[in-house]
Amino acid sequence: MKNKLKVLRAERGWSQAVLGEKLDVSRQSINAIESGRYDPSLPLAFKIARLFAQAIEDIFEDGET
Amino acid sequence: MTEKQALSRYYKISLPAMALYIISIAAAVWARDGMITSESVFNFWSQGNLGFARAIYYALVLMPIIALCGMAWAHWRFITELDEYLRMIQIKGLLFGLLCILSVATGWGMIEMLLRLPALPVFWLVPIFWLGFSISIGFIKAKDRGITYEE
Repeated sequence: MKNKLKVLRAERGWSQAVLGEKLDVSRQSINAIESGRYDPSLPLAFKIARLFAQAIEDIFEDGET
Repeated sequence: MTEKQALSRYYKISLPAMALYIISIAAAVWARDGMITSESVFNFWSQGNLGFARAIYYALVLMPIIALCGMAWAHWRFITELDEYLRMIQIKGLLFGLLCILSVATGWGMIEMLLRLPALPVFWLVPIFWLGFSISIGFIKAKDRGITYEE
């Protein structure tokens, strides 16, 4: 699944480690999500959306729309 | 909890459990041989007190099982303490280990039946499981290592 996580993170000047700390997940997890190798669970997707004050569908793209 | 903290908690249980596993197996083998061989120290010590010696022997035989349960519990706790992505990697590893023992057990069972080969002692399934698990985790981590992390 494509996502804008890398862009949103870069806009704020955060490293993957910093974002990981904010979301309470590892740096490896952030890297896997950003590179599209791993799709986060719904609770984590909500957490990401809340952190960036955006809707889930604005951050994640399932390619259906 | 970070992976490092979870790993540290895992080692605190798993390493002593692994040591207990090895030592208790060695002690149980030594005690078993002592019960058979008259020259051994165990036999000398247990003379006239066979009931007590047997109780110790049974306890020694149970020790590796307790150690294995300890290792399994430590791993279970480790997995629950990781974040969802790292947990998924662990579960993939466990699944691969499980598939390894299913393949070996079924394959060897058929070979045993059709070619009349000696029976494979079932305790080998545990090392085969952990070998499969380690190979799988190593492979996934090696794939991850190829990806650059951004600071």
